[in-house]
Amino acid sequence: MAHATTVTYTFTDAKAKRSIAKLNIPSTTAFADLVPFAQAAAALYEPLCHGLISKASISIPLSYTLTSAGALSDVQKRGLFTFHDATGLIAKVVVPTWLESKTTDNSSIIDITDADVAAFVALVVTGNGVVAPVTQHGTGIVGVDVMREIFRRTKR
Amino acid sequence: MAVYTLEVSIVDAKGRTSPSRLFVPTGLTLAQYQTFATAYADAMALVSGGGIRGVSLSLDVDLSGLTQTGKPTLLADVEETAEFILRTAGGLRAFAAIPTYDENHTAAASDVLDVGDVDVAAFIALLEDGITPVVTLVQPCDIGDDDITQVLSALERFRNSGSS
Repeated sequence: MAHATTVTYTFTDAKAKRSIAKLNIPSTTAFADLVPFAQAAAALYEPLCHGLISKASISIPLSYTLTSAGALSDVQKRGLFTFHDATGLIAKVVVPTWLESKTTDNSSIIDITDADVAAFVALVVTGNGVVAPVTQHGTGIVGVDVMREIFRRTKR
Repeated sequence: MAVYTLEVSIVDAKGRTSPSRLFVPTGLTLAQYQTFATAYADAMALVSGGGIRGVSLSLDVDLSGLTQTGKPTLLADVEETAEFILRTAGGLRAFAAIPTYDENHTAAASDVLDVGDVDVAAFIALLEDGITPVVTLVQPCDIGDDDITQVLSALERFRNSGSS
Protein backbone atom coordinates (compact mmCIF):
# COMPACT_ATOMS: atom_id res chain seq x y z
CA MET A 1 0.00 0.00 0.00
CA ALA A 2 1.29 3.42 -0.90
CA HIS A 3 1.75 5.65 2.11
CA ALA A 4 0.50 9.22 1.78
CA THR A 5 2.46 12.36 2.48
CA THR A 6 1.18 14.00 5.66
CA VAL A 7 0.86 17.68 6.52
CA THR A 8 0.66 18.18 10.29
CA TYR A 9 -0.65 21.46 11.68
CA THR A 10 -0.13 22.39 15.32
CA PHE A 11 -2.78 24.57 16.93
CA THR A 12 -2.11 26.51 20.13
CA ASP A 13 -4.97 27.80 22.27
CA ALA A 14 -5.25 30.68 24.74
CA LYS A 15 -3.99 28.45 27.58
CA ALA A 16 -0.92 27.47 25.57
CA LYS A 17 -2.29 23.95 25.10
CA ARG A 18 -1.52 22.39 21.77
CA SER A 19 -3.29 19.98 19.46
CA ILE A 20 -2.54 18.71 16.00
CA ALA A 21 -4.54 18.13 12.85
CA LYS A 22 -3.29 15.98 9.98
CA LEU A 23 -4.10 16.25 6.32
CA ASN A 24 -2.90 13.57 3.92
CA ILE A 25 -2.06 14.19 0.29
CA PRO A 26 -0.92 11.72 -2.36
CA SER A 27 2.62 10.38 -2.19
CA THR A 28 2.93 11.31 -5.87
CA THR A 29 2.51 15.05 -5.17
CA ALA A 30 5.35 17.00 -6.77
CA PHE A 31 8.01 18.13 -4.30
CA ALA A 32 7.60 21.74 -5.46
CA ASP A 33 3.85 21.67 -4.72
CA LEU A 34 4.14 20.49 -1.12
CA VAL A 35 4.90 23.74 0.71
CA PRO A 36 2.52 25.89 -1.40
CA PHE A 37 -0.24 23.34 -0.75
CA ALA A 38 0.40 23.30 3.00
CA GLN A 39 0.35 27.10 3.11
CA ALA A 40 -2.83 27.36 1.03
CA ALA A 41 -4.60 24.74 3.14
CA ALA A 42 -3.51 26.51 6.35
CA ALA A 43 -5.25 29.63 5.06
CA LEU A 44 -8.48 27.57 4.85
CA TYR A 45 -8.12 26.23 8.41
CA GLU A 46 -7.42 29.67 9.83
CA PRO A 47 -10.87 31.33 9.51
CA LEU A 48 -12.48 28.31 11.17
CA CYS A 49 -10.42 28.36 14.35
CA HIS A 50 -9.76 30.64 17.30
CA GLY A 51 -6.33 29.21 17.95
CA LEU A 52 -2.98 30.02 16.45
CA ILE A 53 -1.66 27.68 13.79
CA SER A 54 1.76 27.72 15.36
CA LYS A 55 3.53 25.15 13.24
CA ALA A 56 3.12 23.13 10.09
CA SER A 57 5.35 20.35 8.89
CA ILE A 58 5.29 17.92 5.99
CA SER A 59 6.38 14.30 6.30
CA ILE A 60 7.22 12.58 3.03
CA PRO A 61 7.50 8.80 3.18
CA LEU A 62 10.58 7.53 1.40
CA SER A 63 10.90 4.15 -0.21
CA TYR A 64 12.76 1.49 1.76
CA THR A 65 12.54 -2.27 2.02
CA LEU A 66 11.41 -2.79 5.59
CA THR A 67 13.29 -5.19 7.82
CA SER A 68 12.39 -7.26 10.88
CA ALA A 69 13.71 -6.78 14.37
CA GLY A 70 16.37 -9.11 15.75
CA ALA A 71 15.42 -11.29 18.72
CA LEU A 72 17.47 -9.37 21.30
CA SER A 73 16.78 -5.89 19.99
CA ASP A 74 15.54 -3.25 22.40
CA VAL A 75 14.89 0.43 21.74
CA GLN A 76 16.29 1.25 25.19
CA LYS A 77 19.77 0.28 23.96
CA ARG A 78 21.11 3.19 21.96
CA GLY A 79 24.20 4.39 20.20
CA LEU A 80 24.78 8.09 20.80
CA PHE A 81 26.93 10.03 18.34
CA THR A 82 27.78 13.69 18.82
CA PHE A 83 28.99 15.24 15.59
CA HIS A 84 30.27 18.81 15.18
CA ASP A 85 30.59 21.47 12.53
CA ALA A 86 33.64 23.63 11.82
CA THR A 87 32.74 26.10 14.58
CA GLY A 88 31.95 23.51 17.25
CA LEU A 89 28.17 23.44 16.96
CA ILE A 90 26.99 19.91 17.58
CA ALA A 91 24.48 17.51 16.04
CA LYS A 92 23.43 14.49 18.06
CA VAL A 93 22.36 11.30 16.34
CA VAL A 94 20.86 8.40 18.25
CA VAL A 95 20.67 4.85 16.92
CA PRO A 96 17.97 2.90 18.80
CA THR A 97 18.43 -0.89 19.23
CA TRP A 98 22.20 -0.42 19.20
CA LEU A 99 24.13 -3.64 18.60
CA GLU A 100 26.30 -4.09 21.69
CA SER A 101 28.76 -6.16 19.68
CA LYS A 102 29.78 -2.83 18.09
CA THR A 103 30.91 -1.46 21.46
CA THR A 104 34.50 -1.79 22.69
CA ASP A 105 34.88 -4.57 25.28
CA ASN A 106 34.58 -3.52 28.94
CA SER A 107 33.63 -0.01 27.89
CA SER A 108 30.75 2.20 26.81
CA ILE A 109 32.74 3.54 23.88
CA ILE A 110 31.55 2.58 20.44
CA ASP A 111 34.21 0.74 18.48
CA ILE A 112 35.23 3.04 15.62
CA THR A 113 37.55 0.34 14.26
CA ASP A 114 34.47 -1.75 13.46
CA ALA A 115 33.89 -1.51 9.70
CA ASP A 116 30.13 -0.94 10.00
CA VAL A 117 30.55 1.77 12.63
CA ALA A 118 33.23 3.46 10.55
CA ALA A 119 30.99 3.38 7.49
CA PHE A 120 28.07 4.88 9.43
CA VAL A 121 30.21 7.70 10.81
CA ALA A 122 31.78 8.38 7.42
CA LEU A 123 28.37 8.67 5.78
CA VAL A 124 27.22 11.25 8.34
CA VAL A 125 30.48 13.23 8.22
CA THR A 126 31.06 13.25 4.47
CA GLY A 127 27.67 12.39 3.00
CA ASN A 128 27.22 10.39 -0.16
CA GLY A 129 28.64 12.94 -2.59
CA VAL A 130 25.31 14.73 -3.07
CA VAL A 131 23.63 14.99 0.33
CA ALA A 132 25.87 15.83 3.29
CA PRO A 133 24.22 15.96 6.74
CA VAL A 134 24.18 19.24 8.68
CA THR A 135 23.55 20.56 12.18
CA GLN A 136 20.13 22.02 13.00
CA HIS A 137 21.63 25.38 12.05
CA GLY A 138 22.34 24.14 8.53
CA THR A 139 26.11 24.06 8.96
CA GLY A 140 28.07 21.14 7.57
CA ILE A 141 29.18 18.31 9.84
CA VAL A 142 32.96 17.86 9.79
CA GLY A 143 33.71 15.36 12.54
CA VAL A 144 32.53 13.25 15.46
CA ASP A 145 33.29 13.95 19.14
CA VAL A 146 31.46 11.33 21.17
CA MET A 147 30.38 7.78 20.35
CA ARG A 148 28.85 6.03 23.34
CA GLU A 149 26.50 3.19 24.05
CA ILE A 150 23.72 4.49 26.31
CA PHE A 151 20.55 3.07 27.83
CA ARG A 152 17.18 4.73 28.21
CA ARG A 153 14.84 3.98 31.08
CA THR A 154 11.96 1.70 30.13
CA LYS A 155 8.64 3.55 30.08
CA ARG A 156 5.94 1.98 32.22
CA MET B 1 18.92 28.45 8.19
CA ALA B 2 16.27 25.95 7.18
CA VAL B 3 17.05 22.27 7.27
CA TYR B 4 15.09 19.14 6.53
CA THR B 5 14.91 16.16 8.88
CA LEU B 6 15.53 12.60 7.79
CA GLU B 7 13.81 10.17 10.15
CA VAL B 8 14.36 6.44 10.40
CA SER B 9 11.80 4.56 12.49
CA ILE B 10 13.22 1.49 14.23
CA VAL B 11 11.23 -1.28 15.89
CA ASP B 12 12.57 -3.70 18.49
CA ALA B 13 11.74 -7.32 19.28
CA LYS B 14 8.92 -6.22 21.61
CA GLY B 15 7.25 -4.13 18.94
CA ARG B 16 8.27 -0.79 20.41
CA THR B 17 9.37 1.84 17.93
CA SER B 18 11.81 4.69 18.27
CA PRO B 19 12.88 7.32 15.77
CA SER B 20 16.38 8.35 14.79
CA ARG B 21 16.73 11.79 13.22
CA LEU B 22 19.40 13.45 11.11
CA PHE B 23 19.36 16.95 9.64
CA VAL B 24 20.07 17.37 5.94
CA PRO B 25 20.39 20.53 3.83
CA THR B 26 17.55 21.95 1.76
CA GLY B 27 17.69 22.64 -1.97
CA LEU B 28 18.07 19.16 -3.43
CA THR B 29 15.65 16.96 -5.33
CA LEU B 30 13.47 14.32 -3.75
CA ALA B 31 15.36 11.68 -5.73
CA GLN B 32 18.64 12.86 -4.22
CA TYR B 33 17.20 12.70 -0.71
CA GLN B 34 15.84 9.24 -1.50
CA THR B 35 19.27 7.99 -2.58
CA PHE B 36 20.94 9.30 0.56
CA ALA B 37 18.16 7.99 2.80
CA THR B 38 18.54 4.49 1.42
CA ALA B 39 22.29 4.55 2.02
CA TYR B 40 21.81 5.95 5.52
CA ALA B 41 19.18 3.40 6.52
CA ASP B 42 21.36 0.60 5.10
CA ALA B 43 24.29 1.84 7.21
CA MET B 44 22.09 2.12 10.27
CA ALA B 45 20.76 -1.41 9.79
CA LEU B 46 24.32 -2.75 10.16
CA VAL B 47 24.84 -1.20 13.61
CA SER B 48 21.39 -1.77 15.09
CA GLY B 49 19.53 -4.92 15.99
CA GLY B 50 16.06 -3.59 15.34
CA GLY B 51 13.99 -3.59 12.19
CA ILE B 52 13.54 -0.51 10.03
CA ARG B 53 9.83 0.27 9.82
CA GLY B 54 9.93 3.46 7.79
CA VAL B 55 12.07 6.27 6.43
CA SER B 56 10.73 9.76 5.90
CA LEU B 57 11.82 13.30 5.11
CA SER B 58 10.23 16.15 7.08
CA LEU B 59 10.21 19.83 6.36
CA ASP B 60 8.76 22.78 8.23
CA VAL B 61 6.40 25.18 6.48
CA ASP B 62 6.67 28.96 6.72
CA LEU B 63 3.33 30.26 8.03
CA SER B 64 4.23 33.94 8.14
CA GLY B 65 1.69 34.59 5.39
CA LEU B 66 -1.26 33.74 7.63
CA THR B 67 -3.45 36.50 9.01
CA GLN B 68 -3.12 35.61 12.68
CA THR B 69 0.56 35.04 13.29
CA GLY B 70 0.96 36.53 16.77
CA LYS B 71 -1.11 34.70 19.37
CA PRO B 72 -4.39 32.81 19.72
CA THR B 73 -7.58 34.66 20.55
CA LEU B 74 -8.76 34.59 24.17
CA LEU B 75 -11.56 32.19 23.23
CA ALA B 76 -9.28 29.51 21.80
CA ASP B 77 -9.54 26.03 23.36
CA VAL B 78 -8.02 22.91 21.86
CA GLU B 79 -10.91 20.89 23.33
CA GLU B 80 -13.32 22.59 20.92
CA THR B 81 -12.97 20.87 17.58
CA ALA B 82 -14.72 20.44 14.30
CA GLU B 83 -14.69 16.82 13.16
CA PHE B 84 -15.15 15.68 9.60
CA ILE B 85 -15.97 12.08 8.69
CA LEU B 86 -14.81 11.45 5.15
CA ARG B 87 -15.35 8.81 2.49
CA THR B 88 -12.65 7.80 0.03
CA ALA B 89 -12.96 6.67 -3.59
CA GLY B 90 -12.36 3.12 -2.38
CA GLY B 91 -15.20 3.36 0.13
CA LEU B 92 -13.00 3.71 3.19
CA ARG B 93 -13.58 6.17 6.00
CA ALA B 94 -11.13 8.87 6.89
CA PHE B 95 -11.12 11.68 9.38
CA ALA B 96 -10.14 15.33 9.63
CA ALA B 97 -10.31 17.77 12.50
CA ILE B 98 -9.90 21.45 13.30
CA PRO B 99 -8.75 22.07 16.89
CA THR B 100 -9.77 25.39 18.52
CA TYR B 101 -12.82 25.46 16.24
CA ASP B 102 -14.76 28.73 16.10
CA GLU B 103 -18.39 27.94 17.02
CA ASN B 104 -19.67 30.86 14.99
CA HIS B 105 -19.52 28.54 11.97
CA THR B 106 -22.02 26.06 13.47
CA ALA B 107 -25.66 26.10 12.38
CA ALA B 108 -27.92 27.64 15.04
CA ALA B 109 -29.18 25.30 17.80
CA SER B 110 -27.22 22.40 16.32
CA ASP B 111 -23.90 20.56 16.34
CA VAL B 112 -23.72 20.60 12.55
CA LEU B 113 -21.31 22.91 10.78
CA ASP B 114 -23.10 25.45 8.62
CA VAL B 115 -22.33 24.35 5.07
CA GLY B 116 -23.79 27.66 3.86
CA ASP B 117 -20.96 29.45 5.65
CA VAL B 118 -18.37 30.48 3.08
CA ASP B 119 -15.38 29.38 5.20
CA VAL B 120 -16.92 25.98 5.97
CA ALA B 121 -17.77 25.52 2.29
CA ALA B 122 -14.20 26.37 1.29
CA PHE B 123 -12.78 23.85 3.78
CA ILE B 124 -15.14 21.10 2.59
CA ALA B 125 -14.15 21.91 -1.00
CA LEU B 126 -10.49 21.51 0.04
CA LEU B 127 -11.20 18.05 1.44
CA GLU B 128 -13.41 16.83 -1.41
CA ASP B 129 -11.91 18.53 -4.46
CA GLY B 130 -8.46 19.73 -3.43
CA ILE B 131 -6.78 22.95 -4.42
CA THR B 132 -4.23 24.04 -7.00
CA PRO B 133 -1.38 25.67 -5.07
CA VAL B 134 0.83 26.23 -8.11
CA VAL B 135 -0.30 24.66 -11.39
CA THR B 136 -1.18 21.11 -10.42
CA LEU B 137 -4.29 20.08 -8.53
CA VAL B 138 -3.51 18.47 -5.15
CA GLN B 139 -6.38 16.47 -3.65
CA PRO B 140 -6.35 15.23 -0.05
CA CYS B 141 -6.45 11.48 0.50
CA ASP B 142 -6.38 8.97 3.34
CA ILE B 143 -3.15 7.55 4.77
CA GLY B 144 -3.22 4.86 2.08
CA ASP B 145 -3.26 7.35 -0.82
CA ASP B 146 -6.99 6.78 -1.48
CA ASP B 147 -8.64 9.99 -2.73
CA ILE B 148 -11.21 11.66 -0.45
CA THR B 149 -14.39 12.12 -2.43
CA GLN B 150 -17.05 13.06 0.09
CA VAL B 151 -17.53 14.68 3.48
CA LEU B 152 -20.09 12.47 5.20
CA SER B 153 -20.47 14.64 8.26
CA ALA B 154 -19.09 17.86 9.69
CA LEU B 155 -19.82 18.29 13.37
CA GLU B 156 -18.77 20.46 16.27
CA ARG B 157 -17.27 18.21 18.93
CA PHE B 158 -15.74 18.73 22.38
CA ARG B 159 -12.80 16.73 23.63
CA ASN B 160 -12.17 15.73 27.23
CA SER B 161 -9.77 18.08 29.00
CA GLY B 162 -8.42 15.35 31.23
CA SER B 163 -7.92 15.70 34.95
CA SER B 164 -4.56 17.45 35.03
